[in-house]
Amino acid sequence: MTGHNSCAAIYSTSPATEVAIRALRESDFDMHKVSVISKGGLDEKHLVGCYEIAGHFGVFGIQDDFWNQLWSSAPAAVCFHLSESGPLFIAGALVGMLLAVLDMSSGPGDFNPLHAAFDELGMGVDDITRYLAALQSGCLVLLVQGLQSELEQAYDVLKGSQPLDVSIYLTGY
Amino acid sequence: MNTDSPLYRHYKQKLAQSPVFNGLSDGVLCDMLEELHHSTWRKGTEMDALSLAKRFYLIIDGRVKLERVDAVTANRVTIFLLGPGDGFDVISLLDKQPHEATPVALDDLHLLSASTQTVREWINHYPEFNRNFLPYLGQQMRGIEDLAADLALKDTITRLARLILRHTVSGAPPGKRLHPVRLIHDLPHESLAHMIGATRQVVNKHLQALRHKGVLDNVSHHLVVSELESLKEQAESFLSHNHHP
Repeated sequence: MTGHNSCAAIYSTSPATEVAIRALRESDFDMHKVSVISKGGLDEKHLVGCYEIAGHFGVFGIQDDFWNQLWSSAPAAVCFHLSESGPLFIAGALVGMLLAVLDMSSGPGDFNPLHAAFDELGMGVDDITRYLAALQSGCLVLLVQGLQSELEQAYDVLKGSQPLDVSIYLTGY
Repeated sequence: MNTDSPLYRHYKQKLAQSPVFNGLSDGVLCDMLEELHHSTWRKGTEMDALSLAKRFYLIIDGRVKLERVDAVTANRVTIFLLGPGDGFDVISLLDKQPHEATPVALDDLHLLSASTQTVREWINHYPEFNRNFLPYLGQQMRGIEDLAADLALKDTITRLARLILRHTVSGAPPGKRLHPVRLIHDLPHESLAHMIGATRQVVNKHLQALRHKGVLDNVSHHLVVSELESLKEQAESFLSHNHHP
């Protein structure tokens, strides 16, 4: 169980996020606790989509190399369309929490499962707004879940990869 | 951290306002920010006391209490109540030993933290930081001395009056006769009881008595002082030093 604590970093590009992921892997961090969220490069000019052929899931678009690699290595991956954020690709441990949050909700409507999941992970309203705005502007959010000691380790690693922002959120669980 | 981000500028501004980091040069603040982690503790978070030996925390926003809990009786006493600009834990920072005090977030806490090793290096390496830090340590030690003396020598209503007086902002706002109270203004009676070694019922009784006498009042569920001189009389006015608002 990874607990309800998290460390979140914002990156402006998928290559920068790749550097961060590689750095975490090289520091022997448990990659099952890592998630990535982004629009996948979706904007009005480029076609982005996901597909399944013979049981193989893939992404088509300007960040397809990045997402195909992530989707193949992550324990879970999903593509959501949220009313506030639009389409989002999500890979990693966060998917399980999103599905759990959806399971507990009373139904669709104005409910934003990503907002609820971020809240579960200790983020306040202002922080959630900041991350959703970053995603909306095309940035990627890298999320790590775990115990405080693990998050402090991850923070030091992620700081070295020059994120736009990195913070730790603790709920005491 | 991206030095162009609004958050970085916000943290730097808050650091400069803290008594511990006040007056440090821009270059030193930037060097320190490189070593500082930003974290948020949700309200009610009770952290492992052992973590205080590893990292020193500076409060950007919110309040935290450090309390000791008796393992047998579960009775609690609040050793420190800290707000924006304060740092913790100074005891573990000084003697490198784990502290039994448990930090509990009274609000959503925004913190900057560095390893205790790093902060000790700052004390050695930056004389200007040392010049701020020693008086701050002295202030914290006086707080513990006052707590010990009050618990040993004063009755509960005097202890309560002294607690409120220590947290009263000196000088009522223009046009107002009420003196605001900081940090403890909206704490439940049980929390106040933990700060003076009493029970919730006793604190409740004393607060009602002080309100009945017109010494205290309640404005928008916040404790305020109506008659500062009467409060000083009740506290026996024997405070040994000035308190920062």
